Amino acid sequence: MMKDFRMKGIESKDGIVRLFGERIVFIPPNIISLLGQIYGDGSKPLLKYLGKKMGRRLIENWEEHIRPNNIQELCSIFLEMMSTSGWGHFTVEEISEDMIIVSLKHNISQEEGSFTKDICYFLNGLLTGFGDFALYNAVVTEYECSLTNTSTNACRFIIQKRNIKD
Amino acid sequence: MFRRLSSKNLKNIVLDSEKSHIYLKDTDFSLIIMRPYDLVQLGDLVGSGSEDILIWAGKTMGKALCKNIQETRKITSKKQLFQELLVNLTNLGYGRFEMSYVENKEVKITIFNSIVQEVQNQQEIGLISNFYNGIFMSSLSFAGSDVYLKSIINSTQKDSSHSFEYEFVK
Repeated sequence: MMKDFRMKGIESKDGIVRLFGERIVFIPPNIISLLGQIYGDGSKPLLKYLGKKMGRRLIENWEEHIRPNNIQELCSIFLEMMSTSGWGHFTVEEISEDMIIVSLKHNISQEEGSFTKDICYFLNGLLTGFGDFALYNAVVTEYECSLTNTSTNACRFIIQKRNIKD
Repeated sequence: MFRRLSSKNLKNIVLDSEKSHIYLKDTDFSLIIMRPYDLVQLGDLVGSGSEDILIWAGKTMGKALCKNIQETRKITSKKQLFQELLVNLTNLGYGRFEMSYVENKEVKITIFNSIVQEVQNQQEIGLISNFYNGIFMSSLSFAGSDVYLKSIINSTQKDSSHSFEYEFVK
């Protein structure tokens, strides 16, 4: 069902859209797949790196404005904002002090008819940036992907606190 | 304390609440949110050839927007197509636009509040300019106009405009 776009912290005036005071733009998601094709073999680490930087910056800014009390609230804010950002529907499946499992239904990559993994790599990076902030140091693994496995309707990511020895 | 902030809405952007996808209103043009700086980074990391990449990204976006405009609006002239394009770009956060269009002669597009204001160094300014240039060139090409870029005036000052001037190939 289509509704007017609403988001916490968003404002627009004279062609400037700001989210919690930081300027944003809307872009078509296929730009990421396009850039992924240009990056070629190096697309996975590059897109993960870029996603990580963006994820870390976003959660720092959102946390500063919304001030969650605990990791559950932090996670809830991040995934709600990410869902409203157009990537698909994120939900949390499990949260503990050292692990967060996130599922993504309606991955925008799939809906666009593009089955390339570029958007998954970028999202992996975004969740790593978030995980680094939430768990101090995290590693993210996509262990199920609806793009490559037709028997599932969701992509599942596990965000794990990285052992210092790793 | 966990602050319960109220949500505000944006005109001309809609959300598919079941899928959590966002679209330009009355189109199937899907969107995601990014900071201008993230956009620059997507092109910048490639190193050599990054200029071409953001022109290409801009061209992809411009062509897709024009296609959507043509499918959803009754367009009667090239000028009207560009005007609709600029309205869409304003709704998507790319600034406020003014255009001077003289058929078969020249097109000048001035951007107020350009996203170029969000970046600092010359290379980043160049990348953002390339992105806008890609959008404009592909839109002119989509409408069947053969043009070349005559000039770009960049300024990162908040009160200054950012402008692009094209001439039609005779």
